[in-house]
Amino acid sequence: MTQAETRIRNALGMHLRSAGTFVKLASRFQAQILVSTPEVPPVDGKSILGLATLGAIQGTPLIIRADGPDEVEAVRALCELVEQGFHEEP
Amino acid sequence: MPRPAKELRLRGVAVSPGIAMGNAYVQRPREILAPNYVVAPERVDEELRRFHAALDRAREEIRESRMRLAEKIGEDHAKIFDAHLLILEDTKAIDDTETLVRQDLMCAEFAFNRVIGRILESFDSIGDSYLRERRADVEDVRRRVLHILIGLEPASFGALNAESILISRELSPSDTAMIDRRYVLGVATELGGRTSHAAILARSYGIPAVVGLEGLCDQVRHGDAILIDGHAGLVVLRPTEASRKEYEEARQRFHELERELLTLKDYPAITRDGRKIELSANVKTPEDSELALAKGAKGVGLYRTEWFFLTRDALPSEEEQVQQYTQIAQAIAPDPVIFRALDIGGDKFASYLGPGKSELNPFLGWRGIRFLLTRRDILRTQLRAFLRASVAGKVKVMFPMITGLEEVRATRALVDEVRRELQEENRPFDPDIEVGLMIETPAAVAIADLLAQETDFFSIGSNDLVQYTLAVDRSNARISYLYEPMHPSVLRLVRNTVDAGHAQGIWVGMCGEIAGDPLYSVLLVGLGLDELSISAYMIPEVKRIIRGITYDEAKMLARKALGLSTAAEIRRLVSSVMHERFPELVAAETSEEAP
Repeated sequence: MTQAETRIRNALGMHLRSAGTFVKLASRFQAQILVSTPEVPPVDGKSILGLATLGAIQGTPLIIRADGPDEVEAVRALCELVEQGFHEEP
Repeated sequence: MPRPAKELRLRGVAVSPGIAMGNAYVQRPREILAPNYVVAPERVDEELRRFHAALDRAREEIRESRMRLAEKIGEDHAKIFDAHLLILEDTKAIDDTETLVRQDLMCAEFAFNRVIGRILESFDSIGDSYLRERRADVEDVRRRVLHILIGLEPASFGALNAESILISRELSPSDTAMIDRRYVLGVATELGGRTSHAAILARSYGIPAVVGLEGLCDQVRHGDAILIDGHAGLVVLRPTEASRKEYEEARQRFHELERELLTLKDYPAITRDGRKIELSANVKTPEDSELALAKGAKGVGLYRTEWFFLTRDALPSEEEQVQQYTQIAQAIAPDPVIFRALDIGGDKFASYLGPGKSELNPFLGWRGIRFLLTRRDILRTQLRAFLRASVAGKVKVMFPMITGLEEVRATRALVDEVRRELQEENRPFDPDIEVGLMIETPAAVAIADLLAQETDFFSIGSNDLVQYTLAVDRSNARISYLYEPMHPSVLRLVRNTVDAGHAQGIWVGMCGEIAGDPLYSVLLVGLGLDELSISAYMIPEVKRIIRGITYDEAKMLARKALGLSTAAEIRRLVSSVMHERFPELVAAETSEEAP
């Protein structure tokens, strides 16, 4: 299992569209992916509905955990996406 | 329930300005009762096929709605339907529904409704209003799928065929896609906030909207006369003759104001006693230039070159950059474009560029000029591209995150080197190109007198200056209240920068959020800034304010503000002066604070 903590950077937080971007990337990996915040227990990182209900606003720490053959790459890529604010406008 | 026939005023949140009067078109979504019946075990497979067929059909409908909305209010807003498509593909929701059908023999409607219902409940406990409001999208998808499963016609606005005020509990994106623009004079909803679909639709149509009107749908009947005041956030049901008259006058004043703003487009931002301010736009792609010009921008005061770097996977070549910079310089000529050298690091990263999230303190780390001076290959290419583009228009260059004179000298040396190179290669460039500095750190302000001797202009980056001066990370919710552009320390630093620049005979501008907030326009002019670079959308309003004041009164306000000791006092002073001088323009601000 690989795990890393990152933080929501974009101004609007993890809303539906950013959750969608996250799901699209997460689905490219075989590993099972779980995402949680300090307040909300893990949700499936490949489920847009799960992610959108995290209510993760800007600045919220996000714990990304992956389990599977490509878990290291998955965690790295997903952390980077979050760090880059889901490629939304800065 | 008998309804009072007399006038009733409801107060909500103003989300799109304007005043409209008309008859109500009430959209009441039918509450869908999901049928609940037991599926015979041998028919489970058939039931699941029916469920998947409904999902397929919903996908088709969503694609069509997406197309319509893109035509109506633009590709950008239509993207929300991409998220709807992903909801339909949410494996967890589909698996859970299938399990309920298979194991508990629930019919597809009931199973799907239960699964989505649970998700909707978890949205309700989200604290942030913007994220909570995304519930509307999930609800939209739920209704769509249930409609299909039950065999109901999709919701439509077929009866909306005369100019009306649209009344609804909440507008979904699908509703928004169905609405015929010609017939909507204004929008009022019970739920929703600034970022709800109703608000976005109204703003893009330029019609007034008020949301968050509790009890609205119970109070209003189809065809009732209604007044909407999108400035004050007020809705008047069944207005009396006196109210109608009052609002007809207000509507005319608003239209005059709008006309006035539009006619200002080709006039300079100049105070009544002749102090001229360069009002320019912040831009990040060549496509933005059209908007900047349409809004009457006098040049581009901040071209964020990092956008070009962040939206790709590898370094852009010199030729690609020349092409990009030439395009914008040409479009804006003869007015100037100020290119900011790559400002990477802090909160902006690209994996191929290096600075990364691994830093403990990225805002105090390898960013801006610090990055550029260690990656001179990138800086050199960019400088070559800036200079080569300078023949296409009026190009200026500035460097971010300066803290010391060494950085200024190193970059200037590199600029000179690049000039020599280009000369040797016989490539033309503007020999008088201005090279400036961004003033974003307290260190830069403290030595502004020294920096001013070795540069052509200053541009104050207010967002970073506030963050570094007050030592506050705005994204940290526990302390974000400390982020306060009106802090006396910030005002003093701005004044000191302006004074140091002017003493050396160079001009001083500002880019950043406060520069574009009409509330602060008079204060900033009074502090002596020569240029304000702001969002193109704000240019007409800020210009109107500048044209309505004298430099003397602006200086007076700045002097008074600098004499106060706390941010709260400064804020009070500035708002009271602005409310008195420009009641129409700052009205929106006060109404937003209303519950």
